[in-house]
Formats: sequence, C-alpha cells, structure tokens
Amino acid sequence: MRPPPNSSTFKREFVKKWLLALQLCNHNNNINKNDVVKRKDTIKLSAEIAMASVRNGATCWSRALMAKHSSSFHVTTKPHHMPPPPPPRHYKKRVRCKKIIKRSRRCCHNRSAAAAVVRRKTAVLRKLVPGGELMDDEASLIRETLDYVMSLRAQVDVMRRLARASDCVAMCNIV
Amino acid sequence: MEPLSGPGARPGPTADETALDSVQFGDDIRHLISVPTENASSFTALLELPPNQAVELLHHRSPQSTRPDSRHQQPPQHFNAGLVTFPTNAALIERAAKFSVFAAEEELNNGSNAITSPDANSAPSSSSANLQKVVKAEPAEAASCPTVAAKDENQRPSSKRKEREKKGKASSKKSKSAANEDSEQLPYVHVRARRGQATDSHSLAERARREKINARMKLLQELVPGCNKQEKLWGNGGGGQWGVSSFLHLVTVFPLFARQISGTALVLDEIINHVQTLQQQVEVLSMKLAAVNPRLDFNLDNMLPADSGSLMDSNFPAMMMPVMWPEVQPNGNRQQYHQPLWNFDVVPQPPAGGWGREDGHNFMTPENSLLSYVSPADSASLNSSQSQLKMEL
Repeated sequence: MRPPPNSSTFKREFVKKWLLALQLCNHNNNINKNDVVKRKDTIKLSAEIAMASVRNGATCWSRALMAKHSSSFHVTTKPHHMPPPPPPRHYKKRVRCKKIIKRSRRCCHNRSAAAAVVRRKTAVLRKLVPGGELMDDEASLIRETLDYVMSLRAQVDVMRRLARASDCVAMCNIV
Repeated sequence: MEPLSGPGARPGPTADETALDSVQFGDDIRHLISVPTENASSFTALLELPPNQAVELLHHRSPQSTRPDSRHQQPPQHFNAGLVTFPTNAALIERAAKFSVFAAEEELNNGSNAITSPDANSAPSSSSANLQKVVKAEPAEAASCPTVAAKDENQRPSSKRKEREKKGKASSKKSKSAANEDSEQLPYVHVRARRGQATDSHSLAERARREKINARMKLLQELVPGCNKQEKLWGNGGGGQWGVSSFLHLVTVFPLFARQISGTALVLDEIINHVQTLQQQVEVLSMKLAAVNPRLDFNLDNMLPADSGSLMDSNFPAMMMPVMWPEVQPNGNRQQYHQPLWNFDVVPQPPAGGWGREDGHNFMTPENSLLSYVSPADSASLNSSQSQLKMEL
C-alpha cells in the first residue's frame, strides 16, 4: 500500500475529481433541483467517489467504495491503475486458526473479557470503514482506517472551504 | 562493533568459541532484521523517518556470546562506545530510567537510550517497584534478563518509530516509550521456560514478547495518571495482531493519543469516535452545500460557447481555484483568479429564460456557476492547464 499522499495534493486531486463526478451524476440522474435531500445525497456520493478515486484503488477502502457506488450509477470512467483486490488469502485456514485461538483463550477468563471488548469494538470499526469486513487482519484494518481518516479529513476540509466560499459569494451578491 | 571489553578480557581459546557462536547468531539476527525493515519501509514513509536510519539502528547491534555464565559476569555490551559497565545499583538504575524518559528525545538519534537499557537489563530481580514493571519480563524468567533476540529485532523498528514520533511531541509522556525500550536493547537473551509451560522456541518467544508488551504498557499506565483502571483492558485483547506499530500510527493521526495512551479498547473507541465524527461532518457539509441556492443564475448552455465542452474540462482545476484560492492554488495565478470570483455582480444577468432551464443543468450550485463564469473570462490563460488536465484525466 503506498503511503498516504501529501494533504494539499490530495485536496487538489480530490477537487478535480469531485467536479467530474458531480457532472457525471448530474448527467446521469436529472434530479429535481428542489429536493435538497437528493441533492445532498448526490453531492455526498460524488464526493465519496472522488475521494476513493484519488487513491486510485491503492487502498482497500477506496476499492470497496468504488464497488459500492458503481452500482448506483453508471460510471464510465474507471480508475485506471486499479490493482486487483487482494485475494482472500487462506481465508478458511485463518478462520480455523481463529477458532483454535478462541478456544484456547476461553480458559483464561480475565483475558477473554478484555478480548471480547476489543473484538466488539473492532467489529464496530469494521462497519464504519468501507471495506472493513473484508479485512481479517487487524493491522491492515488499522492501516486502512488511518488512510481513510486522512482522506476524510481532507474531504471535510475541502467541503468546508467550499461552503465558506459560497457563503462569501452569496453575501457579496446580496450586498 | 565493540570488542568484548567487560571485566576481564576473554582469553584466546574462549574467544574462538564466542566468535563461532556470534557468527551463527549474527546470521540469525540479520535474517530477523531483514523482516522488520520490510515492514518499516512503509511506516517510515508515513512517519518521515528515513529508512536508512532505522536500518542503521537495527544493524547497530552486535551479536553477543551465547554463553549463559558469561552474562552474569559481564554486563551486556552495547554499540555505543564508552558504555562499558553499568552499576547494578537499584537506585541508580531507577534514576537512569527516569533520566531516559526526559533525555530520550534529544539522544534519540544517538541510540543512547542504550544507556538506560543496560541498566534495566543488567539489574537482577529488582526490588524497586518502578523497575519491577520495566523489568517485569526479566524476573519472570529465572533471574536473568529475558528478552529474546528475535523479538528485539522485531520490536526495534517499532520502538524506533515510536521514539521518532514522540520526538515530535513536546510531552514527556511520549518519551516514556523510550524508557520502555530499555528492556529490549539486548540483542538476545536467554529465555527459560517456566514450570509447566511449553519449551517450544516459538511459544517462548511469544511469551517473552507478550510480557515485554505488558511490561511496557504497565509502565505507560504508571506514568499516565488515572490510567490504572484501564489495566484490565490490555490483557491479550486482540492478541498479537495489534502490533505496536499500529498504535504508533494512531498516535500521529489522533491527537488525543498524544496525551494519553492506554488500552486497546480505548484506542479503538477513540478511532471509532473520530471516524464517526468525520462522517457526520461530511454529511452536514454536503447538506449545507446542497442547500445553497444557485443565486448565480448562469446557465451552462447560455454562457458557454458551443465548443466549450473541452474548455469545460479544462476549467475544472481553474474554476475551483477561485474558490479554493486561499490554500490550494499556486501563488502565481492567484491574482488572475481573484477577479472572476468577485466579478459576479458586475456581469449582466442572463434573461429570465435562463432560470427556466435550470432544472437539468444548474444542479451543481456554486461549482457550476463558477465553472460557467470563469470560462469566458479566462479561457486564454487556462489552455495550459487544459492540456495538463486532459493528460491527468
């Protein structure tokens, strides 16, 4: 997995792709302008797609996001250099190993209580991060989460500035 | 590599044996070193740590003699010249450990945390409460310093990364991690099996590693006030999968961790909170953006000339730049782009018919309007970015 990019380059790329995605959304579904909720959804959707495509499929969460949204509308432009998702490596073996580990952990009660708490929280995190369920390895889950969080931060930053700018413009127009 | 210069230089015949052992051991260590450095390469980029530095530190260790009796007689050797013998006085060790907490940040690159490590390591089953936590792994084994070489190498990159991260932060609490590394500075140790436990090398190594992590965390909790209740949550929560390196990354990204590092469950909690917060913010902001009225009643069809299709593509970076000009834009183009943004009121409004056709076309609120506006004004200047953008897309 390549290291997360510089924040400003990420934002620049994100902005470009966001506009592109918005245009695509716009062309594909002629949404009623007055329906704010639908507009919001479209904006959010396009932003998510843009965020995922900036990563260009280098991370699991971006691939999962693209896969999730590709069904909602026909994306003609696909990420170009998307590597194939990692195969479920020895998934069955891992499951068996996990069962053995769980069984062995049952003997120690104290530990299992803490482990149960951790497992529960890990499950919650998996649901939050796109593509989280696909990752068995907790280390990779953490890595993906970090990347996802940084992308989210950049996205929030861009959107916030945009909102602020549009407010400024609106105020200027009023005046 | 420092020659063995402990109390009593080795005579000739024994030197051969030690050399033989050290050669074998050196191969093992090198093999083990190669594994963590692969992991280190991606993480060091994240942490802006030059990989060669990490590797250099890893390779700094010299293999030691594997003679059991020699270890008691001679203190462990370290790569830093000048650190020959260390007192086994408990008080002194404690002081040195505390010193390392505050001094580790400056001396990071020198690897002088080794100063503390031999102190902690060379202490026999220490009676002081503080040190007991640090050397907790050690008295657990039968009265010797029980860090496993394999785990040392594996922990090295993570510990170095930890140090480097915490170097950036001003709190001494972060540097306490440096004190935790003292238990693993030895290139190898003997690990003796406890009664009734498996003597398999893997399980021994695993156990030593677990104990080391536990010791480290206990020390952390000791230093952070109010953390003692979280002790229970550590345990083997998540087991070996929650590598220390993962947490190090969390420290960079989640600012809260800079102040308080405790418990796998709390860490996870914080992460979950953060992700949820960010997602909510995205939601709110997109709602806000959707609610913005397209007061700028430019219609794409109206404003753009017929051949604007390609021009539109090129405007993507340009028109967002007026909006984003505070930070995203290169400085050279700033002045140019200021004007279009603020010329909105100056441009005469299109006829009212433009409003009627908004449905399909003016969905994109400020973006589109800016987009349509900038194109006639600055088309000439955007040609360069146009070709660039086309290549990118």
